[in-house]
Amino acid sequence: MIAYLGQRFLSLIFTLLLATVAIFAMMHSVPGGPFTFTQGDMTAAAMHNIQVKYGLADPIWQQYFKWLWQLMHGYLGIPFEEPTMTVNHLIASAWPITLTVGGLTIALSYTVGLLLGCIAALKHNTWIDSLITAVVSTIGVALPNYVIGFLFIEVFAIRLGWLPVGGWGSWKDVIMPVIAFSLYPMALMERYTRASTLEVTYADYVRMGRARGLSEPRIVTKYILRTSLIPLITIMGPWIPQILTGSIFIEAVFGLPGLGSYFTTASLHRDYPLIMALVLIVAALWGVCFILSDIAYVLVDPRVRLEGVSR
Amino acid sequence: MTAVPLPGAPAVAAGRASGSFWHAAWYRYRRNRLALVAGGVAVVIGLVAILAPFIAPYGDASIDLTATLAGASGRHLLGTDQLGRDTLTRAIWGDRTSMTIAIGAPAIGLVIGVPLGIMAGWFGGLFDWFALRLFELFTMVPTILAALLFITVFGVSVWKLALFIGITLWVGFGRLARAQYLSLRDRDFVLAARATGVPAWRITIVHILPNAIGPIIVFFVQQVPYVIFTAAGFSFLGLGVQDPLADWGKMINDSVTYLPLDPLLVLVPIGCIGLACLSFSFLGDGLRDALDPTSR
Repeated sequence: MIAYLGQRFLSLIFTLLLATVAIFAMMHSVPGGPFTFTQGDMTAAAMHNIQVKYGLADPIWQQYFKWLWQLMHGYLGIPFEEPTMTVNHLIASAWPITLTVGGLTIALSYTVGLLLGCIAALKHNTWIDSLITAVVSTIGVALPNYVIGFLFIEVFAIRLGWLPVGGWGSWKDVIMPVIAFSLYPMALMERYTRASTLEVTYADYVRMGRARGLSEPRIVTKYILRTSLIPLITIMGPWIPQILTGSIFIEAVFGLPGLGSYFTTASLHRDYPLIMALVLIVAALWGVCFILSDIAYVLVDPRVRLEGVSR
Repeated sequence: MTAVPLPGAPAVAAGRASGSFWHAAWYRYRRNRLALVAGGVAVVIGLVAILAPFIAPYGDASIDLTATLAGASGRHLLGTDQLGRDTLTRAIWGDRTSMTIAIGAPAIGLVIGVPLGIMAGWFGGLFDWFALRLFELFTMVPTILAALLFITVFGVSVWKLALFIGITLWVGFGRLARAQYLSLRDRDFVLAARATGVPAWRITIVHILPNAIGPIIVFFVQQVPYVIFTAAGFSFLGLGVQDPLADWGKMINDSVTYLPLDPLLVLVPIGCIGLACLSFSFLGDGLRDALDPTSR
């Protein structure tokens, strides 16, 4: 187990390094630079000064290793857009907001989706099943979350005045973004739970359990759900990093000062240190979630051994 | 050859009787009424996009400053926006924009991803290892950030947007094609083809590809709503398609301020996005059940 984890961890570090090299190279290889648009009409000397100040005049490999060296000391650099702060500060102030919304979204969408999916599957071919499946899959996939968010604001904030229009401060600000953000993952969760539970419901060993006269609650919890929920780890696990890093659309609609706005501004202004930090966060989160979901799979499913886990 | 299914006979049996995979798939698809309707709507949406110049009542950028925010009337069935542009016309041309991106982006993902996936699955070994690392790498780089970077560096147009979103989609196609080829590579029919001396390129394209194409088509259609979401989202943030081109996301963005005056301005593009996404996602579900019946 330890050896396996170590190997996975090393391979994660390797891929992360590769990802940062790739992004670094891509950012620097394209024409233009961070200051060509904002301070375009500067003399060449002044421009050179700025370049030197932010270390952009060095050869690109030196810049990369300098960045890497600082990273190993836990320092992510100075964002070009807000030179009085450090990237560490920006992330530390913005990410908790995104994490709060993302965490609540995962909690809400995964539990409700799971419950609805189980109910739909256990009541297969009844009106309850059709209703749940139709309603959830329709509202989940019909409209993008930013349009739903926009409609929420229109109805609940402007027409009815129940909730604040947007911003960040009180607990009321969380409600609409979380619900709007939840609908799509909830629909996914409901669909996959229903499908995998249905597959098990008609399995021979479940029929066998019934034939032996086991009580229905025992069959459902011990026989059906125990097997049917396992595949969800691999299906819904990869969504966790995506939700925890937020949606630029949701954050833009509700005016949340989270990471999302930095995705937009960092790439618009070619803010290299900020872009690198964002890439690193997303990539690391992805990698860790992949490893964790593999481990979780091994822990819950006795049929799978570590050697067998490969992707 | 027509299949005459016995009443109540399962679809698979009827499919075998017809002797052809596509026959059986069409039979399975036809039985799903929701998918049939969704497919019809998707075809109409596609036709409207192709025929936009002929069916739109006005030119795509024609401005009538004497009739701004005119509301629904006989002259403008769905009203006009703040510049006097006919909403119905904008919605029809917006369909053209959205469909170009929605079909173009997965097509680009397919062109990049599928050949790579095929080679990874077929050759295996070191090539496969490198392909897998590449997939991992591109999964980890945040897609929205990558697309935004491309937009800021290279600017936007409809085709560029399709390209940028397409680049973020290829990994999915690659993984899928690799998995398909990995599982089909050692089948008996491939062995038979090899034994009779069929060259490798012919085996991969003529013998294996028809067996692997079902899930790839399904995946393609399932990407369409996602691309519509993303492209409209960029327009919604003001980063996507620029004036004078019409786009559903941009129509919402442009008209938010005028919502109290004429709700149609916002409801029409929202309705269009909803209809397109729903029809393509039900079409995708129907195709999955029809083309890939074991994956349910």
